[in-house]
Amino acid sequence: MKLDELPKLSNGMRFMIISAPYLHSVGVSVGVKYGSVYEPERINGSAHAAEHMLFQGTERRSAQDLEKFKNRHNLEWNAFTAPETVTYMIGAPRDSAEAAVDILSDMVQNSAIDAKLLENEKGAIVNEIMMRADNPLAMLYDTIPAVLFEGQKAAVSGAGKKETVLALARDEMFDVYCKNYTPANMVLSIYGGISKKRATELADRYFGGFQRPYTEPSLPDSIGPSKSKTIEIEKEGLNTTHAAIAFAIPGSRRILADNPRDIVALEVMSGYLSKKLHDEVRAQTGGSDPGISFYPNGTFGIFSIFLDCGSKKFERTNALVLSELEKLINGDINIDINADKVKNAAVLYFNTNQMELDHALTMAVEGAADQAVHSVTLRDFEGVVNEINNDQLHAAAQKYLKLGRAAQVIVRPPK
Amino acid sequence: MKLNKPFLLDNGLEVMINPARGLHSIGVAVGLDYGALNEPLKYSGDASVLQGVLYELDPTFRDRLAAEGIQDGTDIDYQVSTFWFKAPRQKITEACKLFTELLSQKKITENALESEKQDKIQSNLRRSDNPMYAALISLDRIMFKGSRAAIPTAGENSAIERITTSHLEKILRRAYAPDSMVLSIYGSVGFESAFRAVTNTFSALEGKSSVRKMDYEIPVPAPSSVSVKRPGVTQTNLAMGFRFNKTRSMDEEGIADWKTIDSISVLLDDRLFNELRNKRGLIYFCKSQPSSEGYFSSFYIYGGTQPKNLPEVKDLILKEIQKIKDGEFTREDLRRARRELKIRRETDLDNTEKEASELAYLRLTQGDQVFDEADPEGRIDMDRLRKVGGMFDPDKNYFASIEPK
Repeated sequence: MKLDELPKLSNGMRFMIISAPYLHSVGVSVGVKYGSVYEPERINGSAHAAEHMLFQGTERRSAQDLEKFKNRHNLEWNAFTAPETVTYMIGAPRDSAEAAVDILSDMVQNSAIDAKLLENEKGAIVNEIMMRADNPLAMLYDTIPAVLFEGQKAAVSGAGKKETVLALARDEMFDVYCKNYTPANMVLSIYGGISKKRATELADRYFGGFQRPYTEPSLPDSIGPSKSKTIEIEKEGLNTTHAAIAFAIPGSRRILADNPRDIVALEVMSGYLSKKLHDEVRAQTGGSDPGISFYPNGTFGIFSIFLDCGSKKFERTNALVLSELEKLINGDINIDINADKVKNAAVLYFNTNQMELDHALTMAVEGAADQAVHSVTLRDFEGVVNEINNDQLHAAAQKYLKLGRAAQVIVRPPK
Repeated sequence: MKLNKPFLLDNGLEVMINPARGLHSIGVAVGLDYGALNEPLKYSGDASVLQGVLYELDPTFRDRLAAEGIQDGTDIDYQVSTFWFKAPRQKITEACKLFTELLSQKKITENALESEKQDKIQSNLRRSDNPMYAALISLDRIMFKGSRAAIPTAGENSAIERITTSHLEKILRRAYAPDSMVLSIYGSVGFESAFRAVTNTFSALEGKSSVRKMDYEIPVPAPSSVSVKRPGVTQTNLAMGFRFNKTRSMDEEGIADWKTIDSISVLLDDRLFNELRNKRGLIYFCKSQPSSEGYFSSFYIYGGTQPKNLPEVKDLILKEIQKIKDGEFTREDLRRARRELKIRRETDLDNTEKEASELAYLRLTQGDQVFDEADPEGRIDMDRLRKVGGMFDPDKNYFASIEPK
């Protein structure tokens, strides 16, 4: 279902409700279309800081009150900042569904963004940013977009830089909050052990009266790779090499929503490469399996292959991965043999998502995040899977996996 | 959930079938009585390597799982190895068939073993580069000094290198026998259908277990601390631990005590978040984790902070531990903890493979107690909370940190 097809509350806020009454829990989630790509460079980290501050009190409840309310109703909560969205999630036992909707609506509508608490929270935010930099795998994840989209909005850190976070002023933060946390810019998702009627009532009661004007910020229509680049980071104290090859998928979900075969083809390629590289790397280098990650945002996506092969086997594994990618791009793979496996990998992906209906919170979050960035959920593409053929697969590989524009990031111990 | 009584197949395999209507999947899990504590030190990691190798022996196996839409996974702890499948609800027979095939293998090939060993070795190296993981490993080394529990269940790389095909085949003969396994099926399947699928497939498993019963007594070393200076890091990762030797016996009282430790973890997390993060912004996260291995148990607290904040963070954590020791709990604390544990238990029921695995594990480690859980949180009361809280002693903490060099 596309964003425009979602039902709206009277104030224009879009919402999606999926009732699964047999589940013991309810997931309530709000996706806000304001992530790091919307930030002026000077306030990089403001989306992430806003995410933190929403848990630090509202006009009605102090941080301690929020915490007490959460504990009294046995809610679990979390949030994450992505390049284009911030997503808030509350998991609740089904008899606490109203409490979950109540507290989340209060947080996104009435955040106080207290100046003193902001200064306090900056310590935790900086700690989070620095801990990611200390962890080579997290460092790898964070460096890929910086290399792949150098000089573009998508290159900036989602969490923010230490310096810009420390410089954030309360009024700037409040301005960010008021401009972006508006009904027209958010999607509410409720999923799990609650009837559709009850969920609709709660959505209307707690979010329907929310009024705040919204002006959509300007954003480049597409974000694409600058050029092919390899970056090596020598980091002391490491025992092994952590590396990835990544491709930019420009306009990923927003554009691909109109061309679902492309996005399905990328999912299929992910499944194919995962299996193929497992077999080839183990057979030819005796090393450990590369991992594949396809991460579609709204306006850009990243297709990455992580080489968990160790320092000694890095060169051979890297060459092998590039060779398999070339075969895929050139259509030089044994298509007849692999076609069914490839399709099955994709079918499995969709079946798996179907089975994950068991997890209310996950689904609520996926719904809110996906919908907030003008996209469709991957499950909507299920029908396309059985139609896709190998010609389309090759075409998509040639279109998106351009070796001449790949970014390679290597984090290794000093030589 | 009222559990059905288990039944035995002729080959000695114990089977638990617990249908749960409405869910979209079926969890099929097998737990077997061989964990890291059974491993000879010179082959530490053999249980984990063996689990992985079984998937590598037949190159078509994973394809066939995928073709049926079945997800798979393994878990390992110090007592039990667990395998699980999560299958679409109409695939019970296929899941049981593939499971039987996986566990019937008796011959390990050199190629499969070598590639799995390299995978595990690399995985250990990769994890050790994560400072938080490194802090927890350092803590285990002092908290369980002199025992197998001082080493991660994944084993040490030098020991993994030594593992041979004949060593793993010996484990297969001795431990991978139906009479040392529990098969647990949970999810969207009728009892009769599951029964037919099981008897038509798992009955083919052969062998008799001859695993030597271990003496799980794990010595309690004197409290100590270790600080590792690591280049390339800017933050301090800290891990604090407490030991409760033989806390968890398999009787009703022991299990109730253990649930009380779980409830203390719930309350401590609330308090640490409030004191360290909300009030002072000292830390991004700080969590506690009880760990029970049946014959020994422990309690971890871990987090990361800026180096200058370490003394204050450590002091605040110890103050909260002192409050627990002094029995500072309110009726509201008790209500909060009991309800939280109940919700977690009920929510787990929505997750078929997790519930199937948990039931197999509990059956192996708790015996008949697993069937007597009508209101397990009801056994936690103020007296028990204070009694168990009294076991925490801030002066008897183990402490490890990874700090900037």
